[in-house]
Amino acid sequence: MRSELLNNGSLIKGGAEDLKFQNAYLDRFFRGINLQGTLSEWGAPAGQMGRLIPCLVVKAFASKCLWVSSYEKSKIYPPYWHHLGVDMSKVYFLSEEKPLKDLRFALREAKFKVIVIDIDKYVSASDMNFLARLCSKNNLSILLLRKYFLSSKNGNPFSRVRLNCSYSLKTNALSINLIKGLRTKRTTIQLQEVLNG
Amino acid sequence: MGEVLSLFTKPENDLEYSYLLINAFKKASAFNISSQVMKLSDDYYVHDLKVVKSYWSNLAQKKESSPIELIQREASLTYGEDKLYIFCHHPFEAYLLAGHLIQKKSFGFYFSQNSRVENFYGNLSLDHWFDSCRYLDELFNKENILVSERKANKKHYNQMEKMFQGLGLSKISDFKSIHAVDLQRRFSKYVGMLWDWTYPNISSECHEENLDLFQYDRDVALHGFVWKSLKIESAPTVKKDLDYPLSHWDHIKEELINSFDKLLRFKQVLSPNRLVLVDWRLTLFDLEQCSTLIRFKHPLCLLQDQKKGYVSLLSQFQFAFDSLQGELNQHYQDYDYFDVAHFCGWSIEVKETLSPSSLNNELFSNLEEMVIDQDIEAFQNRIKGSINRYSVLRIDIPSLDYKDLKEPGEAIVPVVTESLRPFFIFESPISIEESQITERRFIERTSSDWWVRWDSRELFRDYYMGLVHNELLYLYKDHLNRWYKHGLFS
Repeated sequence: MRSELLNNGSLIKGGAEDLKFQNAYLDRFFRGINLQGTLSEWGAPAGQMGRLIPCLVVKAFASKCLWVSSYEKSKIYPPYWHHLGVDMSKVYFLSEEKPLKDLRFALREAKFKVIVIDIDKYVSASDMNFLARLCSKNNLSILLLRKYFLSSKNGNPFSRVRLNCSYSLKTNALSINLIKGLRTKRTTIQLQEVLNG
Repeated sequence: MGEVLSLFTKPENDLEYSYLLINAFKKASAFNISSQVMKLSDDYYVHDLKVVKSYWSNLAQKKESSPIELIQREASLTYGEDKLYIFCHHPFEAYLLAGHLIQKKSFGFYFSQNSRVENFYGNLSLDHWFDSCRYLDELFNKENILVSERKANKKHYNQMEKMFQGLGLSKISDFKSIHAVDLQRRFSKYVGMLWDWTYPNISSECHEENLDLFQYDRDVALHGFVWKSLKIESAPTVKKDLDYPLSHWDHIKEELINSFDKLLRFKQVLSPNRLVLVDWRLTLFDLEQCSTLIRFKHPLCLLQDQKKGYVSLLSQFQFAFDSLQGELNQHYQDYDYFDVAHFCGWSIEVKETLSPSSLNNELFSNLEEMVIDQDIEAFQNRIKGSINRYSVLRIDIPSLDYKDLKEPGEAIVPVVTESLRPFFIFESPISIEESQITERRFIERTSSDWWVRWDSRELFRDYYMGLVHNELLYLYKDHLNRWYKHGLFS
């Protein structure tokens, strides 16, 4: 409530500004949803195009970003990022089988502003706690991508924002479902509108 | 079809040469350019630049210079400007060049890829090539290197000389077009290797190179040439005997910190020297010893790391420990009294260091703290894997449209395309039945440079986004109407 009063009714933490996506549809959807300096959780199963919005978030941050992936068998395809207009000189890719175990030391001192952890393994409560504390301590934005769709029934007290993203081939539209954040909301945007603003 | 899917991970500010040959007598500070130096003769020293590539490339980026320029400055400062320096891709290539240049009393910096140098390299006589091969034999004899491979060498050299005379060949470039495999078949494996060493660039094209940002495969780069590095004189070593055996990292960590503190007493590891390779030799409870080598992707300053609570050292030692313990635990599974490995001591020996002069050492920079903290190399030393960066090419054929950045100032050209690409790409397309595709949406049609390629139809493809078992796949139909899955929209 305190942050609401301070920011004229919006739930923006400590004067942080909204991310600018240079896309009217996304700007409208993410207005008031604070992704900066927080841990956000994204339901993005493989083969559902759920990583599209996180990639656009990375682009909107326009800061040095570390993209950690634990998907061993799949090879990241860089033209995907490039096609989305992401500045490739700012994105560093790391493949780590157990990122939350092996990167614990390194992440404490890391100077990245944005870290995306694309993980196909179980994340314990203590790992979540570690990531959430890391965000608040270092003003770091962490996007945790999960291999399943998130459910509002099983909450996560450590992340302020939880979303599900998926794509429908029939309608050629992307649906974004905010299940925790400012308030729950859902939107469906045509793929071309996401890509071309 | 040859799918190009190797990662392109060279940094923009790249160090394109792999070795530097210096014609000068050894100085006390032999490891100022590289942590790996090989003595070819009393006055020929070869420095391996690949192992310290990240150091020079990052430093060059900060100083807005090129790695070659910085190395040149460092070499001139240490050995003087009146010496011969050759940047090359293989020690033998440099040795061939050096022999000729010394005869001509030339000095200064030479680059094997320079067109003028390439020209006179090609014009080197085959007699000079045979003399150099014979010299190398003597060197290898002294060190007992490649003994079985070089068994019948004298006979082979004579046969080759006769053959080349018969063919009317007199220059090195004359046998450039002969394939190494043919020489190997006709004479011996070693003769094939000599050809590889003479033209390392051509033979590299035949091998798939590891382009990892911080690592490389030396065996691939050297093509079988045995590298014997100079050792650090009285290498700093710390020994620890534990009063009781330990098996858990948390307990071992505390004792390790004491060992690191002891290591700081050696001046070889203090500034301006940096750690590159450490040998951690652990003693097991049954007094067996096992050794694990820990290489720092970016040469590490021990004092800087001490200020940070040995974060980098502890991270790398923990990774080594976890991997070792995993192996040992399997071994001890069947023991009655122990199911995990217990350690009762260790020794830590510094195997390689790098000690650039103050001119090329950021430890003496005013911005020291900022530089160390902000940069990616500090992070790199604290993780297990290697980080990668990419650039994209303007080629409209999926999977061929990216590359490594070669020129330092090469700009990233924005590719304007309407089609969406997949998030993951498969190493090679996988055949699929059309009946498995429940829905599909056309994306684009690709063609090829048909005016260059003989059989270009393999790249005539119709790309689709398709739903297979509820997963969005990147599919294509080839010119024979066969379907393949090529990537995953994720």
